[in-house]
Amino acid sequence: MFILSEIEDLVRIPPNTFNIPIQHAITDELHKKYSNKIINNLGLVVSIWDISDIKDGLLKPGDGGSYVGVTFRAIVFKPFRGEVLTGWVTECNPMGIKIRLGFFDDIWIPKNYLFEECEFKEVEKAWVWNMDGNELFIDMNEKVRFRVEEENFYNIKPKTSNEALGLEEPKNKLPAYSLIASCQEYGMGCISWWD
Amino acid sequence: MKILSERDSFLSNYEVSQHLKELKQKYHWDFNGEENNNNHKKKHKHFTSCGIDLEVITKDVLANLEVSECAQITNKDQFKQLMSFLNQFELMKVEKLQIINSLPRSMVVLFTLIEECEERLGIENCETILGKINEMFPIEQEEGEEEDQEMEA
Repeated sequence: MFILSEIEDLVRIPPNTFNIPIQHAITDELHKKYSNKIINNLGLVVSIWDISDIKDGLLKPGDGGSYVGVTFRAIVFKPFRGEVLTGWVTECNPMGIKIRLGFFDDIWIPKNYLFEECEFKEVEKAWVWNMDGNELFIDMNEKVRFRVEEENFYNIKPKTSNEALGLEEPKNKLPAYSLIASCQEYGMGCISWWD
Repeated sequence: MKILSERDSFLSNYEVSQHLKELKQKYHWDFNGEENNNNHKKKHKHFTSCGIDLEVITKDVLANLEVSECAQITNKDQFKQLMSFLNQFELMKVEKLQIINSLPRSMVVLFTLIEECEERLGIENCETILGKINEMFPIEQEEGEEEDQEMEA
């Protein structure tokens, strides 16, 4: 579920942190910049794991801060293809099921990735799996197990001035990072079915 | 920003939760009012220099990991013991990682984690793995029953 990624970056150390040890100042700045952010084609950064290299600081004329090149490793949420995860159902609709992990909520199981004899019941707003005559319900807030199939990145561009003012509906509704999952094998689906 | 190596190494959920717990302690965060003692709060400053985002993600990830299976691993020795136990089988790194993350209790779950499990390991070895997990992290029956009742209700 989580991996370590090695990243190199130039950070600005603000002058008011010159009195504390540089590792602490750098970690704070990196946390501000990366925590809870999605890096395109990488994943969701959770926190900094360690710093492996700190270069000498550089000064820029007219700027009180110092610029330091650092190499660090970060904890990144990036499940691999085929990994089995568990999450909670937040939405059931005729197109499929939406899953939430708490810190990451853009996981989608489309209907063609669900069990074959699965159908959507409009009345109950739930997917039902007919397993040898037994009707098994996948309901809201149920804890389910699923397999990660694909990851999609979408590079979100800054809003145009009209969008930012609310005059225009933003064109893009896609999340920056989303996962497509499947639920087709024995062992998948609600945790309670298999215990 | 330059990404030097995308997947430097894998981390297990246990390691991540340990790291985040350390952060939580270091910054004296209190997510769900665990410490109601007012004096205690005054003594420790609530550090914010690392930004609000770190606090938000730490809270959410910990909330997720605390209810997941890896919360049953309580100390490093247990982790090491299970890992060295798994090393005797011919398993891929990611398969061992997934076993440690999700501590499977039934054969059908183990089969989803390991590809061609039956052909590669044989039923006996699978049972040994499940047995070892049950032995190291016994499930308290009462808890299970309570959950069942909740489900029915």
